[in-house]
Amino acid sequence: MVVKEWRQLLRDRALFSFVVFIFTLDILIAYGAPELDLRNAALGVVDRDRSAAARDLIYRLRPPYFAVQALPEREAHLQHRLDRGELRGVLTIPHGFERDLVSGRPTQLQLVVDASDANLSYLLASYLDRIVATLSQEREERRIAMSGLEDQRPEVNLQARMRFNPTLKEGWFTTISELIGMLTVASILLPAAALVREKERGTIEQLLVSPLTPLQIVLAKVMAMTAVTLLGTVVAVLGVMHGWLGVPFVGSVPLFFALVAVFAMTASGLGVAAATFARNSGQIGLVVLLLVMPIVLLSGSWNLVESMPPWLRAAINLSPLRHFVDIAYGVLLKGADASMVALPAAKMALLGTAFFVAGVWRFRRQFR
Amino acid sequence: MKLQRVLTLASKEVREIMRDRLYLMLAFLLPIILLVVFAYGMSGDVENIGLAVVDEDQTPASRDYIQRFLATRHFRLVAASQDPVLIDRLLTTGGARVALWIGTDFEHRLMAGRPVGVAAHIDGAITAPARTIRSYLEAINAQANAEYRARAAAAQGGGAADLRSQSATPVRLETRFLYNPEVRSVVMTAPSLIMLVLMLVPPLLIAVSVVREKETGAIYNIASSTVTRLEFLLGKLLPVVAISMIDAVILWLIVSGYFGVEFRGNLAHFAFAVLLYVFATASLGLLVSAAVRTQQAAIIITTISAMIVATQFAGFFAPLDTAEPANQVLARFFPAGYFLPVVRGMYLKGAGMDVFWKELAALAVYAVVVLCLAHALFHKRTKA
Repeated sequence: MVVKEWRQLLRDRALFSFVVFIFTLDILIAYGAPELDLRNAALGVVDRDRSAAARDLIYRLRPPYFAVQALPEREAHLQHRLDRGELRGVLTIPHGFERDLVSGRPTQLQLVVDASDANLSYLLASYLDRIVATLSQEREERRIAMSGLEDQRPEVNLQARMRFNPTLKEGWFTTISELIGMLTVASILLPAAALVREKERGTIEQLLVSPLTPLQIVLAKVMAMTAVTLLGTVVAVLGVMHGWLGVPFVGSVPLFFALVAVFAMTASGLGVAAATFARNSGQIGLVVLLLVMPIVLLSGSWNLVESMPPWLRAAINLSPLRHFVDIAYGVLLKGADASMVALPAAKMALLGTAFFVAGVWRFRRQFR
Repeated sequence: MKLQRVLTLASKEVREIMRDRLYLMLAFLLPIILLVVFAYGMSGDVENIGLAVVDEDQTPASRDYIQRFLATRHFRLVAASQDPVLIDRLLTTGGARVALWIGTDFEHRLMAGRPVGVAAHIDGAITAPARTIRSYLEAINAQANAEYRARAAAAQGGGAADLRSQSATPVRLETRFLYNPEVRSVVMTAPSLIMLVLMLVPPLLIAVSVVREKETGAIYNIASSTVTRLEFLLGKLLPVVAISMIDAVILWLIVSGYFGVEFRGNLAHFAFAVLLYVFATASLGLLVSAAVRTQQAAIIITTISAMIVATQFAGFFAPLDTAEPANQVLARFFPAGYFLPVVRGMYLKGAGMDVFWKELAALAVYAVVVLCLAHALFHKRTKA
């Protein structure tokens, strides 16, 4: 049975090339995904001072983060350009900026940010904050040095260090999150497509009248497809990600692939359930798409589940993928060992088995 | 073309829809599910983050410093321990996303007016939130420092204190976040999701309704009748546009009610813009249904292309003008790219049609051109 499934998959050109695509090229494309950092943010500057100090400040707003545009001072026009989204923000340097700086009077810069894009606007404000703080500190040090006062600064220097990805390489993260998504797609779509193919051609009746029980039919398909998914993951992780792109693999290799196999096996229960809803290969694509989309989007593979509202978090915790996400990042990037992933692995296996049983039950009921 | 015949076809369509439970679910339930799933799924909000603390100092000053982080909606304490191994384990398992390490001489050095180091270890595995977490930490730390300095200056007293407090922060940046004062990410995503959902649902509904016609063979009745192709297409188009407008109202209610994103624009202008957009996307659905031989393919093409277009080629994540030139050109072929700045501008910024007349005109032209193309490609009788 298992060998028959592999042969059929090899013969299904479209599906087979899709599987090859998601485990190779798709991961490569994900590696080149744009960084969600500040890039050429259009920042308008209204310079009312036109002094050396103002120019010094503007000079510090440099590419690749900022694309500075000097602006004339017409409020109505500014509002219009912010409304149209042509400017991300406007920085106003007040009249008398340099004079205040030199005489030691505190002075204020004004920044208006278009916060309709929440993350970028926050990054823009905090980058500018850092630039202004540096400028401020330099001025302060110069003044203290000149005034001859004892240098007394009670100050906490917060040294933030990024663990597991010290330079925040976007590619490390995007390839892993893409892999998690595609792994889910494969482990649901492949068994579903294998079952629907039999339904479509009417060969399922042949199988059912054979001495095989429905459970055996399903298990053979699931095992065959899990092996394919596992092989794809090996190629994607060891070949493309680790071998070619240099994404680190910190944890234990056998541990990771064992857990991938468990995940693929249990997630296929959803595929079996999906297959009972669809009559042909066209429909199964749509059903799987509608099923996988929320599962992948809400699993925490690329944003934080803990920031979602409690009712949604409770629902997400029922998804085996939610726990697999912790395992994948844990073993691949963070070097988690077996004892650290035991709890999520147990939850994943338990929930996955429940889905699997439900899927097989629906399948059997349909062909009784 | 007779208006009477179009209306008859449309009312027949509506009666059929009312009888089809699956279609009703696609029409009214799917948009709601899509909106909620995407609004949370695409959220970049960083709140309720697990913070682990190693406080070797255990003094009022160190506790006060830690409390500054926990007082925000962004962080929650998951562990306070002296054991570095435990904290490291928490970061590795994902139980905590940040760990703060405060050394033994924290209070001592602060009181003496000397700088003191605190280490923050951030889980960098998921990069975008890691960046946001870092800027929150830095902002909270900067505020603490400003207070420490002011307090030290006050304690010193005398003329020196005046001078010192003056110069503590010579330049201050006062930031005003326009349109979204709390900088919540749902304010950005939810209105844009109206664009995404209405890119997906109208073409899907059109494709499904044309399929049904072919599956039941009812299309042969049309083929043999005096109904013209244009009348048939409009009869399909109008009910879907009407359903999509009802969807738009439901979406608007959820975005402004449940997600609490304030609507600042003019409702009439906004409704008109949505109507043009829905016409454009529904026509696109007709075009695909007409151009593709099998209707299953039509459904899959409309769904998948809508998802890709809406998320990749409309400026959903990053503004279009910083995108690759090729993608910018590609974006011109789909209505989503024209509509996104309009929906953001009208919904969040309160702009009117006067600001966006170019985009609206483009949408109208687009709808007409696509409808003409669909008309040219459509045949009442599918070729065998």
